[in-house]
Amino acid sequence: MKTIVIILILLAFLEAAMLPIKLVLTILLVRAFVRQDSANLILAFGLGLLLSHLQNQPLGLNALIFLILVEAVYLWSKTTFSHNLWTAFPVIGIFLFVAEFVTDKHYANIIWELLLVPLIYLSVRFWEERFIVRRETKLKL
Amino acid sequence: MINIVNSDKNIQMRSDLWYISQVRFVPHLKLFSTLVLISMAVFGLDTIHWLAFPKTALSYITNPISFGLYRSKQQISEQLFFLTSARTAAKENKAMKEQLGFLLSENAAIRTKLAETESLLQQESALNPATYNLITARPIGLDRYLLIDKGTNSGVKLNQAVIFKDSLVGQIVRVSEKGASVKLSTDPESKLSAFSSGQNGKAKGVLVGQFGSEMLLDKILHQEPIEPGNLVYSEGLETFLPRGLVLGKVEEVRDQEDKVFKVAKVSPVFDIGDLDLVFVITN
Repeated sequence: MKTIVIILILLAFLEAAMLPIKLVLTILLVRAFVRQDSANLILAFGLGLLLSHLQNQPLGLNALIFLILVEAVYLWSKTTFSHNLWTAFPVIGIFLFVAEFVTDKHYANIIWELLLVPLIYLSVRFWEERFIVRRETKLKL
Repeated sequence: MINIVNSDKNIQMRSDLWYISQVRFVPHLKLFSTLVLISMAVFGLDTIHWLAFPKTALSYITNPISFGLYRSKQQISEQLFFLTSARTAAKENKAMKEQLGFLLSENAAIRTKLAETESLLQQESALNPATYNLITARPIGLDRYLLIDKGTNSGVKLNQAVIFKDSLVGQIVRVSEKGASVKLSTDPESKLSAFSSGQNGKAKGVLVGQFGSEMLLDKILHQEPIEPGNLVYSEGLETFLPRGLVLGKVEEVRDQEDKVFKVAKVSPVFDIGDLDLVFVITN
């Protein structure tokens, strides 16, 4: 968990200073799709506050948007459609579009964010499956 | 009685299950609601600038990091721009060279026209066009004779004088429909009656062309004054040549007592190769 928090904080700085695409939100949405735990909400809140501060936006605005979108991904991931990745990626794209609409309105960046979604999905899935130890995977002797 | 109690329990259980199902349907509802409320509170407090102090304090940490990243981005962008612009620059360089060639050609054409216009203006100030009927011609070649681009179609005839400003260039010796050859005054076959004029007086003689670009003013009497620097003019005894045209400048005077006449070395006042236009006197 520490690793992903550090990575997300670094990406928040990169997003504010260098890359005008919503990397943090994309990762949060993809992670919420891959794994539905409460950490996503806390990450969304904290990184939303940090990004608002770094981008000189009103504090709490990004946190509110991130929380709502992460929760929306939770709800959507419970539907049967979400198991098909061909529908999952466009839905995440729609959520990113909503975030752009509310905040920056840089719609041209959505293309890059959408192209990154499969890559981030594979990375997050690989990370969560191979490097995160879960309680239920422990053997009971 | 037992049934009534059981039915009440069932109703209570159904109510609890409904709540549980709702809670499960909206995952982490409690945490989500709490964080949303906190976010709204933070948003509200920030709107009324109550969070200015913590934001300022946090900026002392975040601003240097953001600045460092921004500078890194600029440096990376500069390096990438250099790499990506190399191909574009090569194309632009090629296009610019083509454009430069075109502009140089255009510039040369404009300069030629300007020089011709200036020559025309100078010619008009040197010789009155009302007195002399002049035909403008362009030099198109130079070997022994100067070739010009005007011939019989333009009214050029044999033996007409060719001038530039108030100086003699030569005499037409060959003429065709579209061109003519001009025998220069420096030609060995050229002989013109001429006189030099200086502060001490005039000296008459015959200007004879030499091989190369020199002329000799021969047949000058010893008593006639002539000095280096004097200008040599046409006498006008030839039918084709008006009097007073400049033929050259005296460079050196050879005065030998044992000879009947003095001789002066004369050089042209302009370089034939530099001429843009010449003028043929037709009357």
